[in-house]
Amino acid sequence: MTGPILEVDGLVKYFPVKIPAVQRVLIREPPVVHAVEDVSFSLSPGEIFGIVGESGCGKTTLGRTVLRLVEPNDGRIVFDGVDITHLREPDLRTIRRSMQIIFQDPHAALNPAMTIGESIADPLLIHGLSTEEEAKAKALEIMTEVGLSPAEQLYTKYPADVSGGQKQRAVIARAMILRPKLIVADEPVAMLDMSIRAKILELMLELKEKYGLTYIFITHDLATAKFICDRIAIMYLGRIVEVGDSSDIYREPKHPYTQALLGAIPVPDPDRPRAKTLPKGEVPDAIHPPSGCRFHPRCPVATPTCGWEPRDFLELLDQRALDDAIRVRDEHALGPRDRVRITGDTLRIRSMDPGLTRRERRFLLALVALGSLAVGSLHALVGIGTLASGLAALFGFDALARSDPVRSGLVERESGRVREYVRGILQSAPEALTKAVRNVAVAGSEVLVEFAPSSDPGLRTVDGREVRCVLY
Amino acid sequence: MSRDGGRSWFAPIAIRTVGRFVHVDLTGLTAWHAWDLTRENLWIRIIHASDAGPVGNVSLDFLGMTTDWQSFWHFMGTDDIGRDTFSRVLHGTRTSLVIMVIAVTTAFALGFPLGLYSGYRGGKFDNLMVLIMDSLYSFPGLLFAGLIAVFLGKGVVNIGLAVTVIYIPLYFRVTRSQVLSAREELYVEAARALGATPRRIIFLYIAANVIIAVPVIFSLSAADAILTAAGLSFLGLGLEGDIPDWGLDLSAGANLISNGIWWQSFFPGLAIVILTIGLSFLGEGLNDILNPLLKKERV
Amino acid sequence: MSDPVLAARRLKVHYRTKRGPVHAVDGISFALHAGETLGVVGETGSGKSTLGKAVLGIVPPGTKTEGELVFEGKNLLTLPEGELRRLRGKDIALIFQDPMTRLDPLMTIEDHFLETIHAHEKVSREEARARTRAALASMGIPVSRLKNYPHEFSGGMRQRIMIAMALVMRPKLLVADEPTTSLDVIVEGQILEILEDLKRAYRMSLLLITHNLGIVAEVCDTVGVMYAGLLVEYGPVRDVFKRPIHPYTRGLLASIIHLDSRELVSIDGLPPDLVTPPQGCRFHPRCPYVQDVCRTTVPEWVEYRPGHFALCHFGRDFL
Repeated sequence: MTGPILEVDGLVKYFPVKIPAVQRVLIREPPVVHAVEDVSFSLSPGEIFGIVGESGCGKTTLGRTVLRLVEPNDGRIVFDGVDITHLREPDLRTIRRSMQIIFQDPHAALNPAMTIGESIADPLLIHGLSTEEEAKAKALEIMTEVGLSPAEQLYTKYPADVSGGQKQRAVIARAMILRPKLIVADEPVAMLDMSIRAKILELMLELKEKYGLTYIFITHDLATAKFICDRIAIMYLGRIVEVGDSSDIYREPKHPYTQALLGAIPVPDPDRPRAKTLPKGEVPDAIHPPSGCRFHPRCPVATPTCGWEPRDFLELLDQRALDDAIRVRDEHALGPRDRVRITGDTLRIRSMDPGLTRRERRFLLALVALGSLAVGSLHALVGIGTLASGLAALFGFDALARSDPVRSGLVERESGRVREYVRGILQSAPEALTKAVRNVAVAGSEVLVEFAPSSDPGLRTVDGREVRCVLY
Repeated sequence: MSRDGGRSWFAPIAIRTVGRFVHVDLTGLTAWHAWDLTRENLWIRIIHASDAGPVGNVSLDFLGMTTDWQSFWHFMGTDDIGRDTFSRVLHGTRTSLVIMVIAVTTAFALGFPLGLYSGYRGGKFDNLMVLIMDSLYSFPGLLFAGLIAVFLGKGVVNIGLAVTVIYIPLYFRVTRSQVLSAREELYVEAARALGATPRRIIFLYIAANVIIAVPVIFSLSAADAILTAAGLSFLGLGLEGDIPDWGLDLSAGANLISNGIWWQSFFPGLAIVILTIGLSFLGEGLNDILNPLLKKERV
Repeated sequence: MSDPVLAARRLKVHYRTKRGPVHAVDGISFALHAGETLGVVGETGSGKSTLGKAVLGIVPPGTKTEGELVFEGKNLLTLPEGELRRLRGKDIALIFQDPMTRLDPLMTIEDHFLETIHAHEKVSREEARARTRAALASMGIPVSRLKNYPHEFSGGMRQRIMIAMALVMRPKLLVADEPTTSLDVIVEGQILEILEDLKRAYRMSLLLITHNLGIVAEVCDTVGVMYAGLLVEYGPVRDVFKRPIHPYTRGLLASIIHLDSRELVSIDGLPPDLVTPPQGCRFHPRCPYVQDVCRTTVPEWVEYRPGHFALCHFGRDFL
């Protein structure tokens, strides 16, 4: 067989986020979960291709999208020479015989109302390839092959009566009975006991040798991936950040995220010292992923051009706030958090509210209210009249205060003070963040912190593999 | 009954097996005999229904035609025109059961598949079905059934159909909600990955797992169907006068209570209560049996 | 050596089921001292989760318990409910696998803390607030999120919140049941670091129940290996990992797939049936070294090295 068995090009999958219908009408761009973004790779027949990442990186979605169990938003999938991206379900069903999936949870992947024998035989009946007796015979055969013996006895058992390992073998048998060419294995051993994982992995390798299968092996466990995969792609927040030969990547991981993952694996050796520098924070929200390189907020070796943005400044403020003393100082200098907002690449901090301060306004309002109450005791109408005129005067006062040259002088001073404070914060911030700030300027009552616009680094070829990082 | 003038008696019930089924034929049981006592040969014969003629009419009763509670052979008394209450209650059971079976099976036969299909497909069809079903469901049951009964006219089958419509939404909703959650299960996704058609998925993968909810609904709707049917008869919308029916007897005897004649309403009412409770237990029992069968709960 | 903080003596926990009694924990003894971290490892059917539940006092009704589980002189199995409740949250703290099930979705994080603090101590609201802030800050959770609800946090943060809540009363014993199983590797590493720091700072004892041998090697001082309701090996972590005695422990350690694995090793057979466990040595159906005596006689709990015990007829041969 020549040519790749699977080619994926620019695959994109977004999941819509559930928001109330009213909001959806008002927002121009509804929020989506960026599950898979611009993923491309190709598979040679007979290889085991690993997709490794933490939960939320999109690896499971990628696996399902490749099989068209999930509809892609963009991109192309070519399986065995056939473009299956837009095939309709009835046409797809015949192709499904050649591409199958093994699931992570063996306890949920089998129909509880069917015996495991019936489940295994079902694919043959679904595609009308055998009669019931023939299907049963073939099922028994393959059950023995995957280690479910005595097959006759186990055929009539329900999933709830067999162990986890046996269930997973049944799932494998069910996937294999149609003799597929490609199998997507989604964390096939993650939910099994350690002492039997090896058996299942061995079985998968045996079947590959015997039937010439190609695997996509999805996992979060780097150690297993290293052992079993020929090539590996590391995913982070929907993008492939590094892809190449398995042994190369483990010998010399290039992307900082790959390095972090490798470093974080707990080693069952009490003597090995744990000098780990773990990246701080957690995988961010896939609905609002960081701009530029998605790993930049957590990367220990980030540079100024990695995609810093206003959100990172807020994150910095949060970090500083962990220390009570600093938190109080920051709050005093910058005011409450609602004074800060983000527009595009710029952070805007309002140094003070124009017009009357809140306290002044409240005070005057209280006076007006009291006055009208007192007067209203004489006659209701008089009280209402007082209240109305008082409110009118208040608004007039307010408008006056906004244009008052004295007040605008005050605003200038305040903004200047805030700007100096922000500059001070940036001084003590990590260098990459500081250098990424283009300008700290004053615009009226607001202080603007402008960041340089950034974009995703894209995959670059380095030493025979591809890495998505500006360092290369 | 006896075919040789009282020398030997046998029960007129025939029991046969037809294939996998056991067929019990009760059509001969229009009379219930324990002993046969006549002045001539000392046999005690208790007739609670006549051997010929419409059931419930003890027109050939030779033990008194007075509305008398103490009469030993009418141990539930008679109604105001002399028909024995016990036999009317007994035969009323048949009527109620027939109505209930018609109502529940038709509701299930329509509601379950609709719920399956609608829940799985989703989309506009589902929205439409939910709208229709919710509207039907929001009608007060008795009123709705009464409305339909007026259109369909009297008769056992018609009442059964009238009552059905109330329960179709119930089966639909319950099935649909079960399907909505079953649809997300991994084994359904697995079936899709194997290339199964939606029809196969619905009937082989989802239906079998969803049907566990049905026994509970069965007991609910069956009990309610009987009450509704009785209510309809009570309101006079139900059956013709001669067919023994609990609701009918209840209403007929309602005015007499003030005269001190309580038994004509009491015993049919008691029968309604007992059957309703019994059906509830039946539903629970079915649930207990079906659940472990389908879920195969492991220790 | 000082008195142990938590000691189990021939502890048994049996569930009642339709098929018969499930011998989930069938006679376990161990002793946990102040400042020590004990890891209890086991797979499906080992009974370790039941052990966790028994220590936490949340076994389902109708469960039979035997033996003793002594915390500072009091037997937790026979303690009246009121006293148990007072201990829980104050001296014994608990963290579970899924923090979402322990956090009330209708209460803000701040409220959770305030409630816990007020339930055990009488302090002013300001003092409680300050303690809450400090506790969360030590976990890296910013103050701006104090008024958020549990579902607004990610899994790793929720686990950190749970740990912070568990520790706000400075307990003597922390029981963690699979605390990092549902978390990713990097977050797991962060949480383990936090646990280590806190342990050192407060001299807290930690009972860690897990199936992950990697984290046991990193965090624990002592480890106990459970199989079919019994402890089959127990000892200092270095000894058990480097010089294991029991064949199950050896098989388990060999089956771990790590970065330097050259081959795949597994243990034959199926998990044990806890209703009718195997006769004699419970591991004998799967043991590669099984002999006749293993099938008939229950092995003895022998101390093969100082502090290192194992339950095997041929322990001496494996030294």
